[in-house]
Amino acid sequence: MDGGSGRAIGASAAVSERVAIAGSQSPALTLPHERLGADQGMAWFGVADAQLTAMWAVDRSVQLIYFSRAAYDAAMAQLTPAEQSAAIAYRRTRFVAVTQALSHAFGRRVDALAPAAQAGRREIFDRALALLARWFGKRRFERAQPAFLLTRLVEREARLGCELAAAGSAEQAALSESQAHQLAEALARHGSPEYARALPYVGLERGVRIEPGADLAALLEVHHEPHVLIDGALFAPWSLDALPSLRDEGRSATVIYGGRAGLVRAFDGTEPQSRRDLLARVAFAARAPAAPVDEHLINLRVEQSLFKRWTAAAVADTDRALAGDLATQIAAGASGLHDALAASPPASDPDAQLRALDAGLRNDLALFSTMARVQGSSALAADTAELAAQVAAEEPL
Amino acid sequence: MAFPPQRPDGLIDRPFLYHMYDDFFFDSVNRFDSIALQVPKINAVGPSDTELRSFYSLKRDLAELRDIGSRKMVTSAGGGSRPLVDISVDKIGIASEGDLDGKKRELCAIKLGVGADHKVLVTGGHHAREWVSVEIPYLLAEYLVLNFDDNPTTDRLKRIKHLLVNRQIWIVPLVNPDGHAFTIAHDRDWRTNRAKVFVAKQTIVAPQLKRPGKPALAPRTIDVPADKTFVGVDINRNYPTSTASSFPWGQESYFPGFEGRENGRMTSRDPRDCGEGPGARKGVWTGLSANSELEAQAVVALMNANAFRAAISYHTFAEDLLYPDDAELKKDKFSVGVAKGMSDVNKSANLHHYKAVKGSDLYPDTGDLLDFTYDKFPGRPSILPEVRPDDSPANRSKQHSGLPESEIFDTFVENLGAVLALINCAGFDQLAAGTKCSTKATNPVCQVVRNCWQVFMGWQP
Repeated sequence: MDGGSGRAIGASAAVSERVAIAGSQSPALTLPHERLGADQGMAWFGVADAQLTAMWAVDRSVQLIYFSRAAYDAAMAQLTPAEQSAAIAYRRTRFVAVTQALSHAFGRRVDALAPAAQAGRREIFDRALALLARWFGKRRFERAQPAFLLTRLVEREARLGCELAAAGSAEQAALSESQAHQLAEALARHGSPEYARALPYVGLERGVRIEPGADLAALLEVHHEPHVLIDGALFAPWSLDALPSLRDEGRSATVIYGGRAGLVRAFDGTEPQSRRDLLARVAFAARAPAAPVDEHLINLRVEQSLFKRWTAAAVADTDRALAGDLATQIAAGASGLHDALAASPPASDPDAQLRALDAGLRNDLALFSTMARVQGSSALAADTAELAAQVAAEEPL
Repeated sequence: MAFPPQRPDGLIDRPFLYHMYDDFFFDSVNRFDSIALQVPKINAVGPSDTELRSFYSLKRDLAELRDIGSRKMVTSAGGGSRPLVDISVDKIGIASEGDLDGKKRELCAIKLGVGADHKVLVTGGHHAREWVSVEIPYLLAEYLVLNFDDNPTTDRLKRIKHLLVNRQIWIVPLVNPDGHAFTIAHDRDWRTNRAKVFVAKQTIVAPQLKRPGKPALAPRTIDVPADKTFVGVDINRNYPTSTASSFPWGQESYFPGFEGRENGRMTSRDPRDCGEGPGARKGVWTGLSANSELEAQAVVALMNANAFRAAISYHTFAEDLLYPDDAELKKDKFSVGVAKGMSDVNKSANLHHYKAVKGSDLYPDTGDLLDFTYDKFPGRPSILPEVRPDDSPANRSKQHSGLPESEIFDTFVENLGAVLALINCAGFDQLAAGTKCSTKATNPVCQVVRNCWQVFMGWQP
């Protein structure tokens, strides 16, 4: 086992953009790369795109395991060599580059939303949203009946409204609620009147650190609820309404994620990785207590923006009235999202971020095209080509 | 392809499409509560939307089995010959929510065997997120259909023929198709069905389940907030178990040690504990009235029309074989004995061992199928396997995300002998005496009489 040595083997080290893994005896390892670790007959290494392409020419079994060196570094931070090996082994059971490549690529457009808003580049913001709507919805909802999409849309709008109300944004919550009623009426016209009388109930929850919490773990286990115990503190999704009763019992209850998704993603790693990430999150929430919920609200608004676009596409030819209502809601939602993101402080120069994200996307697509060919994925090849053509037709960010 | 290829073990080599265990399906769909930012994945293996594939692969697979089974003829002892599978049965009801195409989803079923005097009910997929509980009933159907031979040449094939000649087996692998589809496309943690129930502002007085040795809890008053539509009833809290049962519909129950606490309810009359309920309180709502749900109604109607002599309802997780508390309270040695015998058979598979325990040993609940079946067919074995994984901390990720595909077949293997034993026991009324002696002859002869499960000890596919 040899984790994180950083020593180069084979030819001279090159700038590494990706992280890949190969058998220790693979001829690919004679090509330039940056060795990162080895265990159980496998070696993982940083590698530049051009070199990775060359490696595939001599060994098709070379597997991309992190799309970027930065992601690898973040995943391995603070781990011992043995823990790094375990983390790599875990990663290999969970990650298949071919199936996750495109989402990584257009995830760069998700990441572009905030800097576009912060830089005042509304046209880029709108363009990114349009691209995301097209690709996230691809093959998922293209054939869906309007009633199916409207049902989800009403439920999500109701959730967004409740979240906004809980966050103290009464005006926006009222707007969201009225939009949900409008959608519920449309749903009734499409044959499903379930929400015409009353909107769906939404139980809000937060990703929480509870201390002491060990005695609550058995309850969560039997409910199949994801949870982790770290040093007697419980990390789990918990009802927002029930947080006061926890505090009444003399426990601390700290919100570290606005919803369940982020928390559960933090569980998806080896135990040392989860521990590291959760403790970092606790520190983050201590510095910015409102940030977890703000972040959650942004996610909900982006998702709702995309869902409305999918629904609008589904009803464009069959329900002009609804299409019109949705167009209004989409425009209002995009403006609200843009303004919320613009108001958040930029992490760095937003224009530089946009340029880096755009270049990253174009590099991704070039590499993924090769990977699709090497690994025989005609579907990825076709999708990559289509997305590349779309991106090529756009002005650089 | 008319007939899918078979694996060396004789089962159909079928991708587990409706469980979404492969990388594309698992990663391409939204596992949690976020569509866009959390798990945005694109199909890299082929077209079609995930939801239609998920549900209709089960429908298609069962249709395939029905077709194969209908062409296999069963010759009974009396000399008559009938198809192994009754092709007139393909579903037992429908659920409430439309799919992407706007069609109501069906509770698909397969009816096999010609022994109508001894009927057995096998169900799975009550709880949407418990994917492997769908797989085991389906694999049982597949195993029985593919291994039936009207001219058996081995003891094993003779035993399978015996079961299919003398029992009639109804298998409903997915009782909750709406919820299951929702776990695939929207929320991996979803548990209930997708019923949408309007509840006006009102006060509900909820009786509390009395537990042996514990003080009775006063009825709880629930103030339902302003008019809302509540989404998601727990089908397995909605069965109309009568007050003759110790676990009648509508009585609230708690996880031991959490009695009276908000997050400790395992059966709830509060609509806010519906599928949309937050955190640890989600998904144990009884519904407004017993048997209000389409899915429960379908199962109850099937039970009204068929006097089942054994029933089994698959769930996950814990690695237990639960039997009704009332079987023990009523000193029903046969039902309890069959459960313990099934545990022995399960152990003999040399994989994971499931203990036979009464239902409340896991936690008490009301209105579930385990107790309802025993309430309706007293004295008949009713079993609820909680299959893999076990509840050790090492299985944290499996408990949340489901078993990996690599464990599905072993889970089936360790449950196969036990369920075959239960099917066999449907033809019996009591435990074996142990020995049977002839006293009329000048030299009395005694022989050991085995119990109904014992021939399945060590059973392998």
